[in-house]
Amino acid sequence: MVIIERLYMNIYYLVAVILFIIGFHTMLTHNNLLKKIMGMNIMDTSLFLFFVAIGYIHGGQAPILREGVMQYVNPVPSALILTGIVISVSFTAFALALVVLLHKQYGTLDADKIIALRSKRHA
Amino acid sequence: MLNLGHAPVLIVVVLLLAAFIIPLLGKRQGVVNAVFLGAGAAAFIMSLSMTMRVLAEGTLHYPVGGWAAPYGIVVLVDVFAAYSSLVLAMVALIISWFAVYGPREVRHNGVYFTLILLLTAAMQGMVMAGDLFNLFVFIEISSLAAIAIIAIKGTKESVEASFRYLVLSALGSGGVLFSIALIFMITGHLNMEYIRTTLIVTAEQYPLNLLTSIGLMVVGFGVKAALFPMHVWLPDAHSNAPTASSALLSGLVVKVYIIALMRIAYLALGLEIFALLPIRHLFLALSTGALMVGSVFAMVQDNAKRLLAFSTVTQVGYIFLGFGLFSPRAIEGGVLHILNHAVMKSLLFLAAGVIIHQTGIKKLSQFNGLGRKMPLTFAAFTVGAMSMVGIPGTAGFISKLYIALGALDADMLVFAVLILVSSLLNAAYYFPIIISAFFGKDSEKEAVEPRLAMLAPILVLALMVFFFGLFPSLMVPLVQQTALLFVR
Amino acid sequence: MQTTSVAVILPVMVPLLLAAVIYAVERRSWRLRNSLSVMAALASFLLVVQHYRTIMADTTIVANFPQLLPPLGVSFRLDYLGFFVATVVSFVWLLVTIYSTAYMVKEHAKNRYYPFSVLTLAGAMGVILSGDLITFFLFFEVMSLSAYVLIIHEETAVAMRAGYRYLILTIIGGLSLLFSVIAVFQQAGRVSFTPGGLPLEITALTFLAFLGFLVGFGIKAGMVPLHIWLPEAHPVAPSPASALLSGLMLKTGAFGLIRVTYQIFGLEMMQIVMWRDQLQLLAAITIFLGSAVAITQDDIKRRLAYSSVGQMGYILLGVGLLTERALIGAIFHIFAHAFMKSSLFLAAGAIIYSTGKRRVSEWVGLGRKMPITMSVFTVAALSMVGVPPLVGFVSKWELALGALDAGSVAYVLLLLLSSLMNFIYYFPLIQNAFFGEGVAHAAQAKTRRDNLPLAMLAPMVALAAVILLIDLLPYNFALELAERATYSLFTTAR
Repeated sequence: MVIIERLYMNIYYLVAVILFIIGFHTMLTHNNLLKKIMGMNIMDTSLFLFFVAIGYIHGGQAPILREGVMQYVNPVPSALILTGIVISVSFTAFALALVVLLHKQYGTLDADKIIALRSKRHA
Repeated sequence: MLNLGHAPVLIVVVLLLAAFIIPLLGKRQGVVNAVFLGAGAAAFIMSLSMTMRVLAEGTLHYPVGGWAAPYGIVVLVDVFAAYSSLVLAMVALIISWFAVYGPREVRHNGVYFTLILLLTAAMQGMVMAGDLFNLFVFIEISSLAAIAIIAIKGTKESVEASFRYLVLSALGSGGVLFSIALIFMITGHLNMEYIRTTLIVTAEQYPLNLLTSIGLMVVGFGVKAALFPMHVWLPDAHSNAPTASSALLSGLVVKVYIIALMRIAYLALGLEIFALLPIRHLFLALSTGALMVGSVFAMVQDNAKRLLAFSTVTQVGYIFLGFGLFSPRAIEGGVLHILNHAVMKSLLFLAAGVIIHQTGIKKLSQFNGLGRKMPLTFAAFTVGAMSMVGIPGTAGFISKLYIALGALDADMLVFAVLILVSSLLNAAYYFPIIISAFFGKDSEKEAVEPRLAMLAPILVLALMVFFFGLFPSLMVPLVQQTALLFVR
Repeated sequence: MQTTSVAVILPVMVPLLLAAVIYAVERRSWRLRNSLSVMAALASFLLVVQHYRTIMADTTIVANFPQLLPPLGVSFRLDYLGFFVATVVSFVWLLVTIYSTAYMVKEHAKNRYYPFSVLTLAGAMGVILSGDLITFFLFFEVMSLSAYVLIIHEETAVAMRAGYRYLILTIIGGLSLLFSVIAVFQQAGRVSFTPGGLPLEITALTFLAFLGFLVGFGIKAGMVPLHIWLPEAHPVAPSPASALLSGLMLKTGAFGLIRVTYQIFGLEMMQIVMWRDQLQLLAAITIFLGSAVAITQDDIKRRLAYSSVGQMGYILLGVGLLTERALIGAIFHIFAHAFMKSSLFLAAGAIIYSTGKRRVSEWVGLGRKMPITMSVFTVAALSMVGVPPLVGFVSKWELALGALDAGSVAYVLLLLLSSLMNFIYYFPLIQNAFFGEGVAHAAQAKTRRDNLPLAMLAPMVALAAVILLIDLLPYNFALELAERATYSLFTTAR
């Protein structure tokens, strides 16, 4: 029971870590370039969740001074994550642009096939 | 007259501003060039004055917008940051000159210059950042810009290489961000100095978090800095980029991540923690691998730029070796090698780029006899190669000497021998190129020296190799004080 | 006594600058190029010799530049030993350069030869005048790398192969030297040549440092088994370059070994440890093998190159015996061999120049056609064999006495044996040349005797004259200097 309780307490972190691993795995192992980008996004999202969860306090309110509210959620991580999301979006946009280029040049989205085509050109 | 007290942010701001102005200027090439080089020169002058100030007054804390830490963002310029900023500004300026007057490999020069300016701005920001999240933002900007200046060449190979770089770079960024999150979780701070003071108390309570965080950090930066065995993306990426990009990437970008990692090590983690964990030994092991594998792979390359890219893997190993040995002289050597390698690798890449542009020959095996047709370019290439091998009188010799002395100071004779063996390996792949270029039989290819504007940056870099080889005393005060940051 | 004077760097800097000047002007005027090359060697010679009085007054001239190459610092030093070797090297270099202005007329790429020859001179002078190991190493590399260009001058496949072997071994030698320099610095905190040696402990690291020096200098000096580049590289170079390489550049290896033995490790330490045994053994093998293999060579330049290996063994033996008289012999032999081997190579070069005959077996009757050249060759060869009163005799005499002082009779026998072998490989050749039943070529008989330019004849004759006469002078200043150099190395050691 203690273990379950501790897992429940840290559920956000747990989910974040699981998502991170899924994203990481997708990015490294999938051949399809689009799936790689999806993996990248899953990984980023997991990190945002992780960051926000650090600042979150159970039952806390938005950090605006009001009467009767004693507990505030730490605003710093949320603010940072806004920046993080922007970065992630730009990375994704850029990656997609590259994928479009790659598809134009090689006619496929399969990383293995692209490498095969490239080495054939070399040979 | 600018108030140079604001130099730490002004350097970044000027570069960023120029980056955004250039696309607005449209097709007026003369103005674009002027803005581009002007911004680089301004950054260099400000960096120089900032370095002087740091040497005179000690570490600068610059609260951005006047908001003090821990709430505001702080730019923290210590000697290491000043030194790095100076190296970046100096070498980037020379490469920028080449980007303007060198062979044209990019369709839209304006876009290219914007990206280079973004990259240099981000790198400057990275070495001076005082808090982790700020650092992360600059890492991401520099990564994006670095990938973009490869892909901008537009060939099949460069796009493919840049996508691979992007994927691995994103993985690295993920690792770094995760580790920043973990540190924030333990300490509640992002400002590096506050983190250190808090960690003294909390490190013992959360050893697992800290360990995971440091592990992710090393892997994250290791991927970006191409530390063996995470260097797999580098040879393709650096060799398929336009020449100026290759020089920037190999000469500067790779090293900026090492600088950032080491700054986190002594600013945020503190030396006690750094010394407790086996990171040093990890560095030593990996750099040994880098020294050997980089050289062996370089030997079998026939493509000039790929050879240089593999050589970068080796040279990154030297810098990590310097930090891993952790004796003052070894660190001085590692820090010096950041400068020296930036100069000599840029020199080699630019010279190789010029050779490829003038002759159309990419294969080293066809370089025979070209040295007689392009004596100045090949003389410069020879100087760079000799510096790589570590011939005395050149810059490369000094840093190797320091690292080897440091290895003995640290009672690790093996690494002194390793450095010498690796020098021999370097010689084994650089000297045959030079010999066949100067003394090989003539090839039918016509080749002439490029015009002076294209040759100038190469010659300047070649002179710098000699200059820093004979007068390292100029940089020594900075380097020695940097070593004191690590070994107190 | 010690004085500080920046003038001591001039013999190095003048050729260094002139090399650049020559490179700049040579396309405009070959006369200017040739005269500047000669000027460089002459200037070096005069700039060294001008210190004669100061040196003879027991004064060492030093110049320090600690701000260069921190933390080690660059320094220069002119003492008895340096003065003697520098005088010999710059003087012979001068003669060889004069010779080469005529000899090289037939060669290609002369514009490459001269600047690099002068650059090599600058490197060699830097090695000799350096005041510490790192300066020594710096110029050692300059010299070795620029010599590469002289070796591969002909650019034939054979030359390129020999050159590549030389280059790789040079780099290995350089790196092991660097290792030793670093090891010494780590132990002693400085690397300057100090009379009596640096304060070093006898540790494994010190031994490794000694080994590194042995490899580094051994490769340069052609010590067996590190000599493998030498018989390949010396013959393929143009003859004046062979003379420079064999006559002078090899000596820098031996010179370095003397410096290291007496002024880094110190006599005291060398007497305690057993390393000298290894050195002596290697020297003995070098003497024997070099002389023995020379007998089997038919190509004259290869024979001379192997002979150089054997002769370098004498010098190494003299250093390794650690007695005063042996060291006098070694230092004197640096001088003697420089003159002998240069004149042999120049004479051989002159013969190849006018007849194209590289094979010893073809030299039948040459003595009658080229009497002056062959006489020079004969004088030098007899000196090699050790016929009194030629210079080669004096060094062997001192070496033998030194060996007896050290109680090693075996080495005396080895020296005699080696002399015998020298005799075997020089004498039949000379006999053949002067008295052999030559196939009288009518066409060649008509040509004037010694049909050589004066610029080639004069240097050879000058060298031979020194070999012949120096021991007959009432005041043998070469021997005097060698003795003084030895005493200065020994007295400070005590």
